[in-house]
Amino acid sequence: MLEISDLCAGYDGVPALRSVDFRVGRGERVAILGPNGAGKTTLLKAISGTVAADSGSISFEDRDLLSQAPHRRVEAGIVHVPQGRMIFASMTVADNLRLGSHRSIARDRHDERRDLVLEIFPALAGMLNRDGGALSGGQQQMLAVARGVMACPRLLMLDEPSMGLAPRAADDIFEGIARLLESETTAMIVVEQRAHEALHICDRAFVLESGEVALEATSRELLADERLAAAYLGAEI
Amino acid sequence: MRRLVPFIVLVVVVAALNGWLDQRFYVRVLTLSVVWALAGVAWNLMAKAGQISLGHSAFVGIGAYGFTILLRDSDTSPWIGMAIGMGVAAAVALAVGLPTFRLRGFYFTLATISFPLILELLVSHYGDPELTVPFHPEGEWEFMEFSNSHTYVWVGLGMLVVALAISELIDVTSFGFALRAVRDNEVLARAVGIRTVAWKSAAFMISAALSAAMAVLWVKAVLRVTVAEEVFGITVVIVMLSVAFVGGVGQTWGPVVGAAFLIPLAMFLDDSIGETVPGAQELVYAAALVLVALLIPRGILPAIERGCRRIATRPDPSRELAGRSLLQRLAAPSPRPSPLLRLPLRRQRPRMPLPAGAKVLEVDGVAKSFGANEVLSDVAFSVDAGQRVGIIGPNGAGKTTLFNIMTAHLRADAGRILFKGAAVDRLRAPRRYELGMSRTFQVPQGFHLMSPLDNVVVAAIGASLPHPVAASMAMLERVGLAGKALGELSALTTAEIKSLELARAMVSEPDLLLLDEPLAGLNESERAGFFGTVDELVAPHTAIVVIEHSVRSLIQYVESVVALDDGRVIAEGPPEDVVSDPGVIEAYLGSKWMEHARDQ
Amino acid sequence: MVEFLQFLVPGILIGGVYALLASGLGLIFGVMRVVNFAQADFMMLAMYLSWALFAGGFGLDPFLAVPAVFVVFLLLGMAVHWLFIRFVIGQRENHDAQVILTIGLGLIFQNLILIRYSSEPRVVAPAYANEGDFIGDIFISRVRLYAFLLSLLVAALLFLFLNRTGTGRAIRAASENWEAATYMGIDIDRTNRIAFGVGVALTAVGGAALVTFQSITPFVGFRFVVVMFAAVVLGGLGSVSGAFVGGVLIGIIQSVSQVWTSAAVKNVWVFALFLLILYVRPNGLFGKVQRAI
Repeated sequence: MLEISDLCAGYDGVPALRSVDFRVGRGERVAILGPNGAGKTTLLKAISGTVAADSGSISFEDRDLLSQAPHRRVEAGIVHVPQGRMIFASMTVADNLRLGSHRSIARDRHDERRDLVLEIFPALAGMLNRDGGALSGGQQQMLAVARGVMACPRLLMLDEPSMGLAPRAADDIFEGIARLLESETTAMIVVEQRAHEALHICDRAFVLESGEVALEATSRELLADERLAAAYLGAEI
Repeated sequence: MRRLVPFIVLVVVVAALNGWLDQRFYVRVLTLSVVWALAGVAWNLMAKAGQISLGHSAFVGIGAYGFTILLRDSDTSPWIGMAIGMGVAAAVALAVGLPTFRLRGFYFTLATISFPLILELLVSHYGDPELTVPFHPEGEWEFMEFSNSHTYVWVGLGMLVVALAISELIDVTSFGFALRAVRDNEVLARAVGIRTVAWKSAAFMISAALSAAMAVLWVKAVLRVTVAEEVFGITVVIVMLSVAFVGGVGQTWGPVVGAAFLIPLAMFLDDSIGETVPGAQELVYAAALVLVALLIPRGILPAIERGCRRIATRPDPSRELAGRSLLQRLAAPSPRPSPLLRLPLRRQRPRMPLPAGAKVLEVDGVAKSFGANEVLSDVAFSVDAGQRVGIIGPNGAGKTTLFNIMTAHLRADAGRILFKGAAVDRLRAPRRYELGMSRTFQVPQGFHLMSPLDNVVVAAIGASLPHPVAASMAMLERVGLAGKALGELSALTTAEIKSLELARAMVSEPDLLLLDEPLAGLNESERAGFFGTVDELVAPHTAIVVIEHSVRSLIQYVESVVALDDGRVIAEGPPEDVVSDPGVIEAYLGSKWMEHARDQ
Repeated sequence: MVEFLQFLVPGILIGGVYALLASGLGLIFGVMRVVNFAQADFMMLAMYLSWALFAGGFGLDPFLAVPAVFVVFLLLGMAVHWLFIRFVIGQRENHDAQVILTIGLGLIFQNLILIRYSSEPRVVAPAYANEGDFIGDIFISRVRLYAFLLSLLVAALLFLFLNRTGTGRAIRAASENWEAATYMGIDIDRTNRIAFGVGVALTAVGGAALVTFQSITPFVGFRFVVVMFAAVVLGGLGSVSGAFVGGVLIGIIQSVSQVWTSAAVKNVWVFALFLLILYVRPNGLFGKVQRAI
């Protein structure tokens, strides 16, 4: 479904990805793990088009992605829930959700999708008319994920959905994502710091280090692999 | 010597034209070309700092009204009137500029656009909308009352040469370095001790004074009456902008090229079709502005320079420099000169020594919120002389905010930062640098329009070192960049840029070095070498604080680690203790990881 | 007190029009971070269009011509964005290019009009131009009242457009966070183009509302430059509603200042306020003060 080969990308000439090969099958859930600064976010941005690739190729359903503008990629079904939530703070929760269904296929299914996301994240149901900026961190993250789900994604990319959240709030997010995956068949990429939670909801995982793929394995294998902890903290646990 | 050539060319060309032309109209074209070149040079001084002023007609108006009123009321010589006008213009510039110089972005341009409109209103309402300049045939030089119109061209040429010399002088002194640094990267400039507000104010005042001087010549040589609508009018600014942008914005010689090209074009067009097409002159300027904006935003001179450099650097193995074509030799970039002169504006302050037993850095109860979002709460730790401390934490833990507070990019809501025992919370970035605090940036920053050597020289100037160039060159040698000192910044690799950042941070021999994710963007082997380079550069007493994502590389280097999570210090101590702390592991890998690990 | 009200009421009325002028500038800055120095010249062009429709044989009432003015300037604005502005958006180096490009465009508009219509002032005087009503001791000019009501109407429509339509929401989203808007699948170039068109059209309608009591010359824009920029900074750069409130406040200040000083120098007060705002609250009356330290 998504095929990346030999991808190099970076900011202001500083490389963040060095020759990354990466693929996601139809309906597959993939975790990207690795220490901060390893290039995980850059990889997602290169896929959604907000960071330009220096070389290499990305194709989605056998069509070249790199030649397409970011909004065309969303139309194709690639939906990115960015790090730091990026809620439209001055707009209501309902308007945020409505912007989520900006993709043309999703526009007609707005009401149906809204019912779905409110089922996944019941906490949002009572605050549709509140401004996004007035929500707590956890609620904002729910809204960010919900906004992505509104677009009927074919490939949903979640960047650090638990970042900066208290453990309880992070648990709520992961429970919601798990509920979503029960009903949806969308493919998914999760970038996540909390390795256990990410591996729990994914089939397979990549570990990035210094912009290169250091490890690739099934979730089960990785959960038992001490090298993962070493990659993060450099110490044996 | 090289710098004298354009002056000689200018004087010879203008002198030849002045001797050769005798028709009134042509002399007028020549006079106005010189007048507007002068105006453009004045305007461009401000553009050296990257500031676009739309209000320079205010200073032209002040100069014009100032001398006319003095001449009318007290028979004061226009020369004295000019000097007084220049002083007033400089003072007014300071008053208008100061509130905006602290702000980033558009505010300066916005504030300047309305200013001349207001002065025009005041002058027209409370003064005279039009003043005739009294005729004083008795003193040709005393009253600038030349019977021969060629003499105005000579006077104008003299003033233009003086203005160009001032501009050139600024370029080669630390003044010019500071302005270029501000234009290139203001945040970085402040981080290396450049007092941006002071330099911008100085440039604006000189620029305003020269504009007022130009006004006297303009009125005496061409206008003959001082009309508020004309001297305060937007057209003055438009012509200044046009000649400067067409020639080269911020470039000393840009306005001369721009004026030589645009003024005759506009005047000949006006002369031929002005009767039927009243706005022809303005259309020339407008079209020039639009075309420059879309095609060559930096102007003709830089475009030519770039073209020449391409010719000059074209590989030509068969011939050495002597055999190169004349064009290639002329175009070869001269070895970039670093500041020839240092302005004795500021004595180097003796740096406060570290009191015995005091900590280099003490962070005490620092808290910071953005809106309802509390990013840091009650963060406290301290750093001894010569100690290396690492700060770690997962994304969103507050590391960057903490760093920004230490480097004066943000102000804490509560708590104190003590540097060598003294509170520095209220001090801005340049002052903290002067006291001995240096930093690097997460995304490496550079002055992209300068050579690597000049990048370091700016920092040396910021630290008021007695020999900035020598000190900088020595620093580049130590990091292994001496061979590339005069090249282009864009030619450096990531690792070299990181070394350059270190050289820039270390040239002031700081007591505290703050490194913001220094390993980002480096590959495995470069990472291994990086901290080695740091150790070679720092003096034994220099303390180092590193924020770093790559915990593995960090813990091999530092002596102590502070772990942050959710804006709080969750662990502090020797690296091996901190990374095996259950709270730290939980913060990095999630609570369930620990349970899982225990089950295994 | 009555004297004060006699100045206050017209101030509020003209302030409504200023609000409209400034909101267009504010919208454009908010969405694409471009200060459009040609904005006042679009206003001037709209005044000439209004005059042409009135005096050029159609005899169209200036207030009834507003929809036509809006549509023409929406399209003109979008065309100018497509032809010029989009090339100078986005990159860090482009600040200078934006300034000189928009100044150059404004200058071209002025001089083309000068060539076509000369600098002779034009007036649009419908039959009711000098009529008005007394409420108590306060005279309310009919055309100024209409202009004010028109501004309120357009403000309401703008509010509905930005809040109730998909495109309007997309524009708000892009102005709040262009990166997040990109992730929603919003075409930023398109929202920029539409926002530029709407911003220009808003200011154009403001111009059309002015023609019944403001004579028209190719350089009339300069009279409103101070007002527009001050209103935008007063309300906080980039905020449409802020620009609106800023516009009304400036109308009031201009007018009430006439209690103490001559009408000719009313803009001096506006400028003094503008500098004061930069000193004490650079992010506008309603913005949070944020300053590099």
